[in-house]
Amino acid sequence: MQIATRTEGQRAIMRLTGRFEFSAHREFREAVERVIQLEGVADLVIDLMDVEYVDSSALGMLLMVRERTNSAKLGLTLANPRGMVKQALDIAHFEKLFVIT
Amino acid sequence: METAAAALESGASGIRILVADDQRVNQLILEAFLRKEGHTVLVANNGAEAVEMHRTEHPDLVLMDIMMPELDGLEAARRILADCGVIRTPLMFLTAINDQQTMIEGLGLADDFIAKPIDLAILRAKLRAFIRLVQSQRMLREQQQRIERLNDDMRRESEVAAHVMERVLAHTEMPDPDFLAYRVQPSAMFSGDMVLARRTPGGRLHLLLADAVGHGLPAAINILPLFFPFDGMARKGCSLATVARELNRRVRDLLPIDRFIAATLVSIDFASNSFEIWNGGNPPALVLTDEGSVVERIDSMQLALGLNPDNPALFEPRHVYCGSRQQLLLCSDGIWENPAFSAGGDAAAAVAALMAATEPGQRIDALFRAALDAGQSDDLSAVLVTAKAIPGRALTPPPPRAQSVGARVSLQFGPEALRRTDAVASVLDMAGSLGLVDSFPALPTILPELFSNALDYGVLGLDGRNKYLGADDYQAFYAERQRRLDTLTEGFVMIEIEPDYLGDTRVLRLNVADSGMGFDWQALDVATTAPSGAERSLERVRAMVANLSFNSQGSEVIVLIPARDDDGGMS
Repeated sequence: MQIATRTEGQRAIMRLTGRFEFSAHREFREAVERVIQLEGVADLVIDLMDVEYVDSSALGMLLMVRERTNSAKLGLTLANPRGMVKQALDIAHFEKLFVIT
Repeated sequence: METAAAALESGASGIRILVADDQRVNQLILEAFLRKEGHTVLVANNGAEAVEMHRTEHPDLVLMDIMMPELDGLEAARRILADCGVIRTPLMFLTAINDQQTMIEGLGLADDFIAKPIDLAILRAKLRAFIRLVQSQRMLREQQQRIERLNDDMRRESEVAAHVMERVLAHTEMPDPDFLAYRVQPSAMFSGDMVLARRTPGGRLHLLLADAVGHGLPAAINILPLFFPFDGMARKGCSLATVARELNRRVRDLLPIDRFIAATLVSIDFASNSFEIWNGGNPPALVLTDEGSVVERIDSMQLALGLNPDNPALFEPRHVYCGSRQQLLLCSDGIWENPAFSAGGDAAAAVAALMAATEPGQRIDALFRAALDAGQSDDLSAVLVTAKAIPGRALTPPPPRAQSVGARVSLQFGPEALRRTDAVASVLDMAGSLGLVDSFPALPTILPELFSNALDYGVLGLDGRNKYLGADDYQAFYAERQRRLDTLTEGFVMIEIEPDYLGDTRVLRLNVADSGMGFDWQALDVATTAPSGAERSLERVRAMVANLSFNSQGSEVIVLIPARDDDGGMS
């Protein structure tokens, strides 16, 4: 999986591409930590537009980000889930835990 | 013991060197020189001895003359290399031979050459490079040994873990060809999926299909703690909602934040084919007809176990009534996301199509065969429950129980029992012996009302809308009632009582169901001016209870009877 992070004002947007699975654990965590350390960022948007698959560990990683952004007082949004990814988020009822747009 | 890594750090450079030369004078010169340099020296007199000593002494470096009796240096080197494993012992030829062919052949075997007569300054310089090589090789060898040790430890630990898991799961109820099929197929040695089944004392079957995040040993460790609360609570007859809530609490307490367990819980009353289903994070459960078409789909209702707040409302199951021989199919996402079913984009449709194409008894096998053929990348699990074959029509399910806290008494009266026994008295006797009449004093008043409604208007099919205004009407009514009762050949009245809670208030849940056609209970609220017999009796009951409700067709009534004022604080 590839991760590209950019900022737009107070928003940091992490765009993920490919298969979001356990193997992406370390780089995903590091990318999130880098965003949290950034000055002046109030919101994190994880853009799932180009993610074709998430496994349950990936859902676990999203829960971890939620915990991190909560404690760092950052907003968190999951954006543009499609296909199987949207289905996985629906089945898991993650709309109860996340803002999904 | 000094490790190679430590030796590298400290700069200590003494290594074990095997010198193979048939010339005594060469042996003496090399031995003296290498000793002085701080190395340990082993001496072989010919190639055969060198091969043997390499085997027994494991030197770090071999210095080998090429021209030797018994076995020449080239052949000895070949055999030494053949004895080495992945990590080759470095080898340097000592030679006076200058012909190109021998040099080329030698370099294919050895790491370097040194010309005879030996220039000791050059030998010293070359040794320095070899010492570095030897030290990194030692380190490599130590790491390899450590990996092997860890591997052995891990295998031993895995065997213990596998043994424990196998023994634990051996305690769950086995599949039964009549009504329960299930299978779990791990993608690794351990499964992060688990299927549990347990009969409750009341004869219900509690089922759990759970799927922990990830797979392998960590997932298996995460999922194992569900066994004991599930099994223990089912044995005690706890309601599905109570079990689900407790499991959620356990997972939340035990597992790290990024770990959760998708779970479908099912409780089945085979007597009425009524299924309670709670699906948290699993793919939809499907109700299939004998022919395999999907008649109902129970999508994930809540977050997975471990993610839900501890709110009882989140664990209320869905109630589904299965027709005779219909089947309930549960799958983990390993099946749902398997290419065999997900390729077309609609896994539910693909699973349903396979089910429709397969005999009811073969459906689980067909599911696994398709998934395994398409390639397994996740744990697979599925459960198929077959509803009892029931001739004629049966009950629709009652609304949810909040919590099972005590004894549940359930009696069903068929035609013979309705004629010969006093159903109301039997139930009240039993309730009395359990102390429920003392705790819920309105029961003896309410039960006869609901029972006679069920018998008269339900089972016997008398017209509940008749007003029976005069005494003659009553007489005619009772004559007809007696006639129908005497000739009754089918139908039943079922009475069930169980202590329950309405919020924090203790109540007695009384459930009276019958095999009749039901009635339009929604019209009841607006009928005020001239109530019929049935309406009058229901109004009377309603005044005494905390809650009164019907199933959709009106063939079952559920009332919650308040406890005495001094018994549980009904205000």
